[in-house]
Amino acid sequence: MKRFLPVTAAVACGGLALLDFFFDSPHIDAAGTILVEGVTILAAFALLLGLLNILAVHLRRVASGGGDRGASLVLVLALLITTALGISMPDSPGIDWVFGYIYSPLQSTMTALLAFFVASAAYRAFKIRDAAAAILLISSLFVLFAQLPFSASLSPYIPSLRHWVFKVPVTASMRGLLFGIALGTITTSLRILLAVDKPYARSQEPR
Amino acid sequence: MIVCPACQHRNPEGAEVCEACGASLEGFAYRVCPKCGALNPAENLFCHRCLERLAGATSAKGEQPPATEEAEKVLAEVEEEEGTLPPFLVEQVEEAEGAPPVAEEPAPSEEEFPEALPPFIEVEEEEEEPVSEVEGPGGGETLEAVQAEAPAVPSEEREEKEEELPQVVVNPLAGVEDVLPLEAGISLPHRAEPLPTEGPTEKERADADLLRRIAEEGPPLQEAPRKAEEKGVRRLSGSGRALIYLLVLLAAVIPFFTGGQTARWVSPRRSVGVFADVMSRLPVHTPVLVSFDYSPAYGEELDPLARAVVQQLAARSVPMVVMSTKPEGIGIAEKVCTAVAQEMDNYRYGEHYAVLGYLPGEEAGLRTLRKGLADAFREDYVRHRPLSEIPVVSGIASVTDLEHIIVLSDESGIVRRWIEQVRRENTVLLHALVSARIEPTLIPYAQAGQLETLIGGAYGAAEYERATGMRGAAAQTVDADAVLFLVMLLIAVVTNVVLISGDKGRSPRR
Amino acid sequence: MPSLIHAIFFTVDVVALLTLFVSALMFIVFTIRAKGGASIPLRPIGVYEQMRRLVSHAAESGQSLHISAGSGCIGAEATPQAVMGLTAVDYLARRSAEYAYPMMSTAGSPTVFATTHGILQQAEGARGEAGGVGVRFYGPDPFAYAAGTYDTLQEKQPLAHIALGQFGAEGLWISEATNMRDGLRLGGTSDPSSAMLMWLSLDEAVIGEELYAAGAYLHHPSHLGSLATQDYLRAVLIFSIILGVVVASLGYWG
Repeated sequence: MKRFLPVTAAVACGGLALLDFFFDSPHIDAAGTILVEGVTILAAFALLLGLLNILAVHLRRVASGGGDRGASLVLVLALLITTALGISMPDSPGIDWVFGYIYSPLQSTMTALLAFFVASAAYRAFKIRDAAAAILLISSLFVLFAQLPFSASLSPYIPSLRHWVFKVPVTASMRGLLFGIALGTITTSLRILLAVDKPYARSQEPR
Repeated sequence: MIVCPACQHRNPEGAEVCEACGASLEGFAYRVCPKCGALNPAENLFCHRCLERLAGATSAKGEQPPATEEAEKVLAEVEEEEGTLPPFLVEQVEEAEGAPPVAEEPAPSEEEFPEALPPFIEVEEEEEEPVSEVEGPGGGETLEAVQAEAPAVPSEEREEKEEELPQVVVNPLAGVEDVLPLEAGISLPHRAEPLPTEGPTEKERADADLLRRIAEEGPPLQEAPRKAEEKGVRRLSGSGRALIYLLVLLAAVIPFFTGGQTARWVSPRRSVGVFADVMSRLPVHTPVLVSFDYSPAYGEELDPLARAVVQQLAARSVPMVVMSTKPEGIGIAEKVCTAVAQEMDNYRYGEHYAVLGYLPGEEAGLRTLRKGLADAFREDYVRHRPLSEIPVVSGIASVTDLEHIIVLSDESGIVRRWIEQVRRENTVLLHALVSARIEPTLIPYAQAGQLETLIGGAYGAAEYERATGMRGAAAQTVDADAVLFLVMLLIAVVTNVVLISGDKGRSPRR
Repeated sequence: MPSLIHAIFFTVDVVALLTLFVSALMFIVFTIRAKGGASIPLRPIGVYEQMRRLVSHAAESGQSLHISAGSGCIGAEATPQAVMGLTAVDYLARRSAEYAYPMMSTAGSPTVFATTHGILQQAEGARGEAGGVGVRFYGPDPFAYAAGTYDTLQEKQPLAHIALGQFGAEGLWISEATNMRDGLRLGGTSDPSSAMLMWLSLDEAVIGEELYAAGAYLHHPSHLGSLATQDYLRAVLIFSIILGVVVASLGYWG
């Protein structure tokens, strides 16, 4: 019974969501909407659990007095203040200020760092160890060059060659990847729907 | 370096308790390989990963390990074979120092210790020729040398040893060679633990069981992860990394000084031109749905494009319904729309545009949106009024009533969701304005006609500004592309020069 | 026109429904065969081979392993990817329970965090320890997650960092920013744009559909059935594409 109930619930919910996709019926739609709302509520509770984890980890760090306790203290205070502001005054200018002057710049900074990481990763990728690496290097440099605004003035063939690179090799490889991903998604979803894979019930060694 | 067994904190040599958690560190010493930096148990003579001799090999208590020359010689040969020894074999070699070479000692008969040996260990029955049976690369030669140099052992001593030193001459892990090719290690002259008169203890059984299960795990225990050998070649040094970062930084700051000098050469692609044209010809009573499905992380890249599109629609008072399928996106949407509306007095909230809010539920959410706008949003995001009270939305029952949907996104999955859930009826034209990172992933959809427009990144925004005749923020950034190309070219050249010179300088490995 | 639209809409659904039925049928047949012990050949995939080796290394050296199942949410579109990441967590956790090597895990989504916590709690509880202590959640934002994971890896310096599941650009961020002195970096995701970035940076990476083979390669023999289904569906797809190209070239379609 301990395993039967969760498996039955999971299969039933999965089947209902599938029916909601294929058939237009007010009753199924209503059930589907309830399921979607249920997932959102569950995710919110999981988020609460996660927040407790963050608090526990960083309060422990603050209490232990290690070298990082200053950063942990800032994190805990920021978490508590933002949560309090968000719950008590969701439309307050304070929340907009946090979003505009802290959250957005931090996010932009993290993304901007990617440019540096792509460059350092390219250092390894650009090593011509075999034919594939040579093709990667040449095509990367060509696409970068063809992106330059004045490249078309050097030769009219450059934009058309760039277009060909995107239209033929890139599209072909992307389609292949997307087909594979779609097939993988189908079979993984079937595994969950038919209870062959039960990520929600892991009490025995899988077979 | 001592790694805390409780919290994995790396403590300095000599620490008795962990600096981080205070746990006792007695008996938990690890040594760091000077070549590859791998952590090794204190008793190891050679690095388990790269087989480098561990300089100043000390035990957990700081004593010099008592390895004999013979053992080191054999280990060196093993090293040449590119194998390695598991720590328990190294321990046995160390224990063997001082003892007469076991190759000289006859192995006890199986009858003497019938129950003491695990079933997978076979005991050589022929007492006279134990050495000749030893297997393993180089093992025979080494043992002969040891035999020649070893002092003669008196016969009574030999008899005494017989009881405690059974000669194991066959691979004790016979049958699992593919998993644990230990021939090199097993070929060492070593002595086994004195055999107990009773059967193995519970702990020994547990250890043997653990060893068996690890061995059965599949991959070879002693084989270092494959790429680890390449890492020294593949990874950048600190100074190299710093240099690359400086060059990229240079590319980023150049536009501040040049101010978009190369923007005059920007020539819009056909698809960008067509999109700009469609936007400029939209009937003023045809509402457009704009979904801001990107996070502030990609704001610097997508904000110029979003602003340019909203500006163009607002300039002609085209009705606009704004939403997001990302929680962070709706804040950006409100900011961009408010900024544009403030610039244009005749573009008013509620009458010309409305921000509906965040739509949760991914695919399910979009399916709801397809069924009815009021099902997806009960009220608007800015003024919290029912949709029926907002003039610009009141005439739209569902997204199928719209002709154009513009999706600004930093995730290919989001655009795919719009295609699969909303556009599948073929009545809506979907325009995707996306970050450069995901543009290649969406090309197949654009080629198949499922996306009417696909514009990517800051350069796409510059093209759009050029096509519409605006002078926006995107044009300022195109100079960075030129510098970045030079940086990448430099990296490619330097990488391969370093590679070639490194290959020439490196002596060939056997 | 509305009737035509309705017809197209109906056709799309029927095709999808048929595809689902055929896939499900094949899946059931192949899974039953796989459970019955039918042999299905597998090509080697580096990441999974390395993971199996790492178990031995961690057991031998006592060093910890770090695994992250990514930022995909269970219950959303990324569920299959997240489940594959959790399958890898489950594999390492079970071995950790047997061989007593320490395990750490970071999660970028609350649902993955809760599930990972449960898996580790069960595994570590089995050897009499307080379970789930090594699981960290750093917020649902991908870059907050990247920064937190970076911090954990820098501080703990595990034997290996494994990132399997749903990753965006944060996948590159974590693997490239972290200066792991001797640790291996393995992982991958199915989203092509992110997978390419991770491939550039990781020591060994899976791309695209290889992610969905995690269970079959690591410890679920029954997953072999779904791999066989994938292969046969792929063959059908290839045949359909060729047929479509021939028919279209002859002018009968499109």
